[in-house]
Amino acid sequence: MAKIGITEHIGTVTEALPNTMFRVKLEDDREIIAHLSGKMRMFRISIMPGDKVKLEMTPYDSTKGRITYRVREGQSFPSPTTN
Amino acid sequence: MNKLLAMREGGKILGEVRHKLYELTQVGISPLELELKTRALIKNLGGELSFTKVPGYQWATCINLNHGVVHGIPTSEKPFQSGDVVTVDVGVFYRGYHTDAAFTKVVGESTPSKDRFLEAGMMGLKNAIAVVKPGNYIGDISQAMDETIKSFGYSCTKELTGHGVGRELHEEPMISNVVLTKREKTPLIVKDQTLAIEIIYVEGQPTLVMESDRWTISTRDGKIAAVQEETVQVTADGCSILTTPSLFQIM
Repeated sequence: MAKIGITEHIGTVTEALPNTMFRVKLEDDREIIAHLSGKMRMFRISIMPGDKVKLEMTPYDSTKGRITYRVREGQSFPSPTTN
Repeated sequence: MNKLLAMREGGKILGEVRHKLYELTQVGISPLELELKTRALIKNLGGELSFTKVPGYQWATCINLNHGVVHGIPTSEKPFQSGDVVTVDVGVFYRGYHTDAAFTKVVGESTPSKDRFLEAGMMGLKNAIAVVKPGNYIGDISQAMDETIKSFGYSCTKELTGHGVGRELHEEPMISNVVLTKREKTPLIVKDQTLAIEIIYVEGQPTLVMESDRWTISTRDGKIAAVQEETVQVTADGCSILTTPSLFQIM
């Protein structure tokens, strides 16, 4: 029986919460709370409500996520890397 | 009873169950019939069901058809049709330890493209098992599977992985099917480790969707998927397959 590892999702930020947490609406209409990945914090990537983000989720908690990428209006997600 | 001995015996039971299921998986039999047969077979051979110990899952097998990838619930009474790509995943719990194995086959009439698809998986599994030895990294297994499947023009799934197996069905380390990071950053393979090496790959895009039953995971584009899996034990200079007869012997 295969194990479900980390899954990637795309969502839209709906609300900025304290402690650089965000409420994000996923493409399948689920609302979750997500924090920023360490690298995004390091490079101070700002995230505003309305931004599209890519996030990772674990199978253990379907209400939390980790934001790994942000695109602004007019931009698109880079094509998936091969490695 | 020591872990390796228990898992070797459990593996033999599972190997035999899988061999029987491989022969039984033909046109006209339904997933539900296979599930009931599996329960009887495992019980007769003195093992216990493994997958029922996964929280929320109540069946002994996972059976997927065509575009179903993993975790298909075996309750359908619709018989297999000629040309269906059927994946049967089954586990045995014996004296406190789990073993895990799977196979994918085409029932009835096959086509050259389906044969090639299954051949890719067997070659990927063979290459993956070949790099399992102490001193290598888990990343080497991922690389072997990823490269082989890509060379055939198919893709491995990123979200579904192989795993360590033992007291629990899903243990560390997680064995990704695709290269996610440098090999040195992945765990080292150590002697006496027991791993469920599974190659999960799809013909089209590796984007997966979860069906409404909250278990079955299928491909989004509806193209076929396959899983080939063995439980192995790492030895001093390589590894030995615990689930005997192995897929290479029964196919």
